[in-house]
Amino acid sequence: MIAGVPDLSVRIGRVTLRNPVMTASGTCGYGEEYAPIADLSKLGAFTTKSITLHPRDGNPPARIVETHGGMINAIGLANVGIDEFLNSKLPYIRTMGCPVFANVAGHSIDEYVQVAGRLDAADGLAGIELNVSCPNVADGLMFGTDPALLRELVAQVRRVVTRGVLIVKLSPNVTDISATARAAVDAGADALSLVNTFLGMAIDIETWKPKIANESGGLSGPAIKPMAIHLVRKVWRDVARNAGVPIVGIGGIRNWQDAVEFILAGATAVSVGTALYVDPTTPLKIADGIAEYLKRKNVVRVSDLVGRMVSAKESPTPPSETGVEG
Amino acid sequence: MAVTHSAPSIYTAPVVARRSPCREHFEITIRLPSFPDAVPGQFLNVLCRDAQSMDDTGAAMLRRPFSIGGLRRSAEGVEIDILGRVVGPGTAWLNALQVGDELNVLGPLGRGFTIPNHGERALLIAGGVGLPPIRWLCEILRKSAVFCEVIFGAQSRDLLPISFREPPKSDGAFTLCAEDFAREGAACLITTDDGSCGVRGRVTDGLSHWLANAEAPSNVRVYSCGPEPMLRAVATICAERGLRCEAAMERVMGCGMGTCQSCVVPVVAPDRASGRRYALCCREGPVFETARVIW
Repeated sequence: MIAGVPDLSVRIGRVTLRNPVMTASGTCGYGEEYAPIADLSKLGAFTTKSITLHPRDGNPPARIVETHGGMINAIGLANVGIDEFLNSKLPYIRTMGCPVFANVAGHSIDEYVQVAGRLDAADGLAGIELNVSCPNVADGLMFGTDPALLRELVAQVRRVVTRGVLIVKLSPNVTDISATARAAVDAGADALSLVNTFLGMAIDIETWKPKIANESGGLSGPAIKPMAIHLVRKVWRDVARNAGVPIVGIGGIRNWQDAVEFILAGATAVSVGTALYVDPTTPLKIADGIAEYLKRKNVVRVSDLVGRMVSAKESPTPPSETGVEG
Repeated sequence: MAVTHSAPSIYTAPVVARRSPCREHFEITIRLPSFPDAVPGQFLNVLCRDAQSMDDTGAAMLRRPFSIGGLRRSAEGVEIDILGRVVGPGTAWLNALQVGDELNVLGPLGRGFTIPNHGERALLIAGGVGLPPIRWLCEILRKSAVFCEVIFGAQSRDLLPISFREPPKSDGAFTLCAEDFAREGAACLITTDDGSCGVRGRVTDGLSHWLANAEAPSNVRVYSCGPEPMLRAVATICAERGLRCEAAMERVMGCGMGTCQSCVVPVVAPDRASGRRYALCCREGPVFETARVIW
């Protein structure tokens, strides 16, 4: 056995996270909401609700429906807008004691650049996560599904994000996610987060109406986990590994076993989303679980686990519980 | 205005009592070692499945909000009542809980009813599964020496989750008929859609009876909880008659804590060009002044 505690720290761009477990944008507000329940200072990192240039009321209700092993949401980027965020949300965020990424959404390159630039200039944030994959606003998926447009967007935003880390959050609603991943990396993204929600729909068979007012929405929760792991592996193999760009894996993670699966697939860190609604302390429990797992597997650093899935035919087998690894 | 209350926590608490007050309804009492101050109208977000199970079925992933239907403090701890109706896999799971089983709850959440000062009058109106917060509210208002009368309605006698001391009147008279309210000295008018108990009709018909006989109704506070069409109808009558009214509203919720932005209620916003905005039911509500709600 290895003496001491496994090293859970990971690097996302120039930022070091104390552990690889983050919160996913849109599931944890602006931080203060969960503060009574969870010690946010112990998070690997926190990601805010999407911030847009102007405040947004969001979509008419119903905005969510639970489906088997998951939920469909169409919130519609309801948020306070950049002015109010800087005035009333950022002061609390500065006290949270963990790296915080501000998620940014927009309808045009100019909107993204304005919001990202102002956030990068403000003190207290570790960086920006670009939401180019919201399925619930009119043109929310536009940037996330067109590699050329995405390349242009990321390049323009990169110019104004000079202090913070720039993460691009990819949509799974594409034919070839490696193409959008490559576009984001080529244009200067420091990291990729994937995946955002899958487009989904649920219909009430008595009334013949959609179960959410927006008709379609984004599916999240355990139901999407295998698809998300597949896409993380694909992006890691095709783009991220060779580019040396870390992946933040997202999709239905609710316990440490799920997180380890994403890390083996190629994620450097993971984000917990829907599971926060059940228990806001889930990320802290996952971090503890990963530490125990690393001890059991004699792995010194969690970063040694990234992408370590072996092929079905491959030998030798992964680090055994008796062998020394690291 | 209702006030913001104590910080919520997650609790795992044993079921210490359960009963089936009527067809399709269940009532569970859990006991916690401690619980923050809470008021009627506040809710618990309840995990309606086994918290530990790794091989869960994929059903009832999210917590479900339940109004606190009663809260008693003693040397043994804090007992909280949850009352519900079986409508899906989550409520079916709750209904199957036995004494000794454990329940995982998050709360207290939201903002409750305004508790007025000594000496005021209140009219409490509940429909169907809207009973729990109204029942607890009556108890709390009576402790503040507020005079209470109650209108409670359901589709039929077998869907009234309540026990009676005597048969309710069918002529619109308020009597000490309902055990839970009579205990507090509050007279009650019962309505059923099919006339199988009390007055045939809706709670709004009961409200008409009350208005026909009330002295100075504008000094009375109205509190309501039930299906949204009922709340809207009660709010409309109260607006017409100049009565102050608060309603505990229900929404599908993701988190119950203001993060998921799902549970919106449209409310008036005089400072906005549109004149309206979305309020979160879980944070600004679930209790709203009905004059603020855009029905």
